[in-house]
Amino acid sequence: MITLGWVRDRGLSRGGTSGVVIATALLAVVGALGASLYLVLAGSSSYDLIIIFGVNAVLVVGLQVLVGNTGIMSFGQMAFVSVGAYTAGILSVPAAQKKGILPHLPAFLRDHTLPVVPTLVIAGLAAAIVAVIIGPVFMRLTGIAAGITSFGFLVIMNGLIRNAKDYTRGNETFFGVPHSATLPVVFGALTAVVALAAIIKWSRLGLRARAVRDDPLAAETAGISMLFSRLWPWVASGFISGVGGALFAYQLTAFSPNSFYLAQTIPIVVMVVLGGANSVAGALVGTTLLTAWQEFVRNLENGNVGPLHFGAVRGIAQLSIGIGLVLLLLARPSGAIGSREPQLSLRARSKKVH
Amino acid sequence: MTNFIQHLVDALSVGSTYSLLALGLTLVFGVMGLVNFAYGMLIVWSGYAIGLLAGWHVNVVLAVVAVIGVATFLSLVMGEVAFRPFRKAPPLTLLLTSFGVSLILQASVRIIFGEGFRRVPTPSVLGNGLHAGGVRISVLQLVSVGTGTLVVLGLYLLLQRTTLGLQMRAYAEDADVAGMMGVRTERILTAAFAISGVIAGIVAMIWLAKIGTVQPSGDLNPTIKAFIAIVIGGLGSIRGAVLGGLILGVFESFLVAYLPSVLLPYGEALAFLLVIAVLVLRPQGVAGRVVELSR
Repeated sequence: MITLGWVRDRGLSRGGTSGVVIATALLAVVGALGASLYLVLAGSSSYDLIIIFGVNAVLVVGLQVLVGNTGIMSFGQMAFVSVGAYTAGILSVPAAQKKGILPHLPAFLRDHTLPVVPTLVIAGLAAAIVAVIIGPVFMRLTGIAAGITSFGFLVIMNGLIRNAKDYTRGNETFFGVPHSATLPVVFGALTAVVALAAIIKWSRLGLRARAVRDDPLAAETAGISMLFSRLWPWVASGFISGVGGALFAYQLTAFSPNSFYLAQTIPIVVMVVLGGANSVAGALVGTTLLTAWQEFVRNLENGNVGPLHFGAVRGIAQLSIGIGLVLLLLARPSGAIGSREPQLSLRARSKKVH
Repeated sequence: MTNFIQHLVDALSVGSTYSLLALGLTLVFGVMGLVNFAYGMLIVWSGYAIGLLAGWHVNVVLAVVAVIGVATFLSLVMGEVAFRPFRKAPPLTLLLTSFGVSLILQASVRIIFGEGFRRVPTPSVLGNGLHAGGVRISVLQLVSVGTGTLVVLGLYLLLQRTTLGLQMRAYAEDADVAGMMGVRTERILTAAFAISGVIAGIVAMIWLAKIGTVQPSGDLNPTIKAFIAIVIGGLGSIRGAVLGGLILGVFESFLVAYLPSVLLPYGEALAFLLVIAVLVLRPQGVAGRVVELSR
């Protein structure tokens, strides 16, 4: 008998990878069905919203892999996202236009254009390489120090992108990226990324990282290297955020260094906290809740609620998210579903949840 | 040589402002472990207050008092309503809360005053300059260094020579034991936020006189400067905040003066590189008070 239960990441409860993969596949199917149903019901005007949700979800899972496994909150994820976005941009602008947009690009980059899937992978790898380079420094820190350092990383990366004019057009808008953020691309990538996050979480690597998260001293005594156990989730987080950046580029088609800064960081952080920072499924829950809320308040700001119309008021969205964040942290700092993960198992009874 | 002295004067002026910014932030951190990201919004709100007061043609002295009053009031509201319920929370939760608070304060500015820039009127006398042997010192620079010195002195006396100061230091050291020794702990947070607000009001006037305009997102720059300064100096340390601010001022001024022009656009990135180096190599900061950064 197949049962759907909940597993937590505490103690020795290690879920089976196979169960996670099945759950992920199920999630993808349910998600795709839900999205199609929503499209039919709400009309094609909400297509963009579903794409935005998918891209956000990839970014949020990217942060969750780090926070959930290491307990380190990063405010610098947009640095990875920008690396992914610019990499994808450089690789996917049609070769004919590239001469005009980026005239100083090296010839092998200028004359070639890659299709979507290799671009996504390379964008992820580029961000992962950045993560490997900065990781040994960053992973020594936790708490506030890590938060400030990650923000510093964002500022530094932003400065580099603004000044690498030959590759990024500097402060000017980077444009000409094909609009490849289609439903199959975005949700295919999301499914792969969720599977990756789940596999890392239930693997030995994830277990080690969470051991360090919960008790660094005991974990080190047991022979677990603090630095390396944190490094892997960090690199995975970089990879996923880089992929998310590529999707972001495909969705925006035109962007500048300002598209990847603090204003874009805060919603991602809120989504992770909202759903439950210790749960991959929580990342998806948080993304769903906040994306829906943002859409609702955006309409409110423009003065449309269903049949009602009134004058536009700027700032309501921000106000509501601020108040919501404070109340959330007060009432339920562990997020909507805490550290629980859905788990399919083939046994007669699922594990008890405490 | 004249050039060097000029840069030093500029560095001192900028640095003293950064020190003040850092003081307000570090005081609250010392007491409750909160790195208050919403601190910069006090400066933005003060800016709009200055604009309104100038529009009503309020006397300058009265206006100064009123601006400090506004910042103190906001800081108290922020502390009592938003942060007091979190006083036992881990620092990271506190930091996230302060993100929420800064969103709230920024959104209310947007709703009340709108999106665009506003000019912040300043007394014209501040723009006058004094010349001494080829070095130019503006009145504003003198005022900012002078105010900085006075505030640091005042804060030092408050913390070292008054009962309240003693209680605050005891509370920062160990809140529970301080409570057992008869410190009315619930008042300490109020006092910390009040002092932080007064400092924010003072530094707001100097900061805004230097940049001349205010906008809803104008909090980011002062907040970041204060962050950098307190990390360089050592979180939670008063001496560290002063030193960190001055170091950042010197660093920035001399960077602009002596850096090859290719590297100039990387100014802020280099400042953060310094911050990361300090965090990794000397997490207790320059001033050297050991604090638990990662609870």
